[in-house]
Amino acid sequence: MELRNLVYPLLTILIASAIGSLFVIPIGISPFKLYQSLILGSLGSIRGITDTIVLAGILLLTGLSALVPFRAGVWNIGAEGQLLMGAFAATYVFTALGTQGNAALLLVVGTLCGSLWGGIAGVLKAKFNANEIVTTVFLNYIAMFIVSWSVGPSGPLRDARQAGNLSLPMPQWGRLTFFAGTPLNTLTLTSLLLALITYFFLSRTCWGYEIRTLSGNPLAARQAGVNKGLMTIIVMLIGGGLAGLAGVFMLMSVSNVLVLGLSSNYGYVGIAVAMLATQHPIGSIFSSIYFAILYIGGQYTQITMQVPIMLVNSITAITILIAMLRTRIITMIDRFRQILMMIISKLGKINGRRDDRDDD
Amino acid sequence: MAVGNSDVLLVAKNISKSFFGVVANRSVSLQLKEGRMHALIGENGAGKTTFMNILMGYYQPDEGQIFIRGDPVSISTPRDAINKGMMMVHQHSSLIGSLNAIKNLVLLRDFSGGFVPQLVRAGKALADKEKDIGYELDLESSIDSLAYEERQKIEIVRTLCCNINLLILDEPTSMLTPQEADQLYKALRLLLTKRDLAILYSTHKLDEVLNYADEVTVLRKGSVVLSKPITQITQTDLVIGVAGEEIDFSLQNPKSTISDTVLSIKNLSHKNDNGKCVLRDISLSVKRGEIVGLAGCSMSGKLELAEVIMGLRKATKGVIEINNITTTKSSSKTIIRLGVGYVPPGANFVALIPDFTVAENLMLTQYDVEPFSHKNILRLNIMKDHAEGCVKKFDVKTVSVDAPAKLLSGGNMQKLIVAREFSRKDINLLILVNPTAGLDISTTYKIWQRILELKGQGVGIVLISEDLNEIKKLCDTIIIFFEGSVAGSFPAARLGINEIGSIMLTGKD
Repeated sequence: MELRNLVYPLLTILIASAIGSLFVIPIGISPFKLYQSLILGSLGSIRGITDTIVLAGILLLTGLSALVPFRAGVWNIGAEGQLLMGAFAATYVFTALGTQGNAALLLVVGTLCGSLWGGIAGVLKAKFNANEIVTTVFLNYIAMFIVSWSVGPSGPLRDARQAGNLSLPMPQWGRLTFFAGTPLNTLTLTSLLLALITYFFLSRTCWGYEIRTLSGNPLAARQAGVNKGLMTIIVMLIGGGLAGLAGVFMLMSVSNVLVLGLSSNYGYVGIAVAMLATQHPIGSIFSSIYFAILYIGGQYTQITMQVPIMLVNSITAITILIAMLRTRIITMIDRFRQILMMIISKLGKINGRRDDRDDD
Repeated sequence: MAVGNSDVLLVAKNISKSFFGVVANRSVSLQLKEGRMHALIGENGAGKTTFMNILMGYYQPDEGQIFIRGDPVSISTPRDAINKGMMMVHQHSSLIGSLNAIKNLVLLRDFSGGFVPQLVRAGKALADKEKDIGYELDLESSIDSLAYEERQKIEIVRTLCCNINLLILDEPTSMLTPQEADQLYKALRLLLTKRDLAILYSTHKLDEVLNYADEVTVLRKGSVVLSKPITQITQTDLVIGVAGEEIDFSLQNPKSTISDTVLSIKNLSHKNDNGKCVLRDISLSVKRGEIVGLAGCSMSGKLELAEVIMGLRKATKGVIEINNITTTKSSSKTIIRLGVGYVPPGANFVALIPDFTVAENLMLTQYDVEPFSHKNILRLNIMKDHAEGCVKKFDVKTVSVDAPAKLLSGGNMQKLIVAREFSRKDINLLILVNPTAGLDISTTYKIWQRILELKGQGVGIVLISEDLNEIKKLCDTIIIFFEGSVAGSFPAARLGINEIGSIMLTGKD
């Protein structure tokens, strides 16, 4: 991994934070206090740390769900919908099972359903060359309608005892518990493990190699006999599955009920997680923590400092925008390094001349 | 050096540039005069492109100074260079793929004003220039839909449409046929008589230097080793200048036993995407230990045939057999796994992945076979060892095998692709299209020698080339294509280059 790939995310975060400051200064809030509060809220208490780590696990999964297709040159904007479909399928199963059941079964069902939802966009792209950005976005809407209907007034999953549009709560057998004395649970371990597996899959397997050729140079991939259609479907199945898994974990560890607002754009933020990590699975671990800090710290800051959460969310958005300027930022880093090297070589020369004089 | 001289347009003095410690230019000095054509030659990776890019403001020199008409200038961006009347034709096309040739011209030069719409005026300017040179170009289709040879011609014509006083061409003829190259240089000569202009061009073909240049500068490992008027120079001076030593121009043609047929094509026809029949009733066969050359003009169908053999296009009629297995409808992957190697036209664009490392690129057609992977898991160490061997054997100039391929010079990319296909253990049949395009003379001879060695090892080889000299030197049999059909098949010894050329143009023996 090159040094500049490490410098780039840090620089991006720095620039985004600086621009974010400009937003709060007009309403009379000190940017330093804001960032202090963000850190305090997310990492300053056991509760904060726990929430941050749980959310980072979810964001890591949606991040990988954007990352794997992206490495094949496919834009999966559909993690939001795939997540909802995963949660929907899991809710369907636990409602049917009642008081006895197996959490692993829910995870498998949710993953498969999310995978299927992603696979639709994959097949449409492979067979009809339908633009995946458009199809995944509209599949998100369809997923939202399905969830909205299922927990709506006459929906099959609605909890009749409640006034709101939500499902029955997840039974105890499906809820995640933390490992004794730690803020970690199965979600944390699973997401970390999947990040490592993704890394290995992309960099060390033949399939991963083929996937990377597709984003690297589709013409060369074709010459090498890589089956683009098949690979497009496979990466969308993988991406959809990861997002579907995130949906089930949301139910198991955060919300416990299926509602339309189950995901606060966690699917979309996954794209940012992948972008900021320069499409690197291990880097995604760190960028998912960054975005989780913004989310959890933002909620805290809204309460303690009366800073509208929208302002904190705008920092997330700015980070995405800056992250998009990757090439420009990399050029900046390179230019900076060149200037630095030039100064060093000039200094070296001056020293060299002095040495010459000494010789004289 | 006469910096104040009136007909000297540009002087570069002691230009040095290195990239991360690798020296590309070391104290290069050069002067360009109005009305003169100046050739810049040197081995692949000698620093020609870097020097041109410095003149055009793509890079800043670490040291040195550029003077235009005696005044010191700093060229910090390509826009600066264009404003100073400089323009460059790049080795790798700088055209916008989704736009057509006319819109690409408007990007460079403003044609607005008057009642005639801008695009119409730009289109007319292009068409006029195209006629001056004698090319036939498709100005209306988007660049992406055109072949790489066509793109290079459009890039040249587009540049000539602009008002310039210094024209820089980086290997403008690497993808052109010899006739097209001649047309280009004649047009450039004509331009010099009409306008106050200086021309700097790079090439690997010594004929193009000796026949057309007024002055020549030779670079070796980033330094100037020779800079003289062409009248004071011989071909031997150039060869020694470029290579640093005398090159052995003899080729050892090993005894090969021509045995069983490896490729057999019977009554093959192919219609392209526009429904035009570009291959008609082709029959030919290639035996182990034999080199079959395919010659033909640019639309003769020889390139399409290579793609049909590789499964990249589908035959509409006929049968292809490789190692006695029918592959007419097989996927490219199946065909590659039968031991077929392919060096495509425009290989740097279509057979290389710029962001992959050199080692990864050397795997592109064999990552899924033992020993490079085992049960779907890549073996990075074996890949790396293999890459080290290839880079050494084929003299690919790279910082390391872990460096991304995009950092290689154009010629070294070509070498990388040739190295990949030539070093495959499972190779039975090689389809080579312009394998030495953009390579310097000594490398070209090394590649030719390797082709002959492979032949000696019993590989069947199809050589498709614009360079008739290459075909004549290496092939056992020459098949000449004319408008999609085979015009004739001849033992190589029976035909001279002029006869080949005449059959290519007329289709008659």
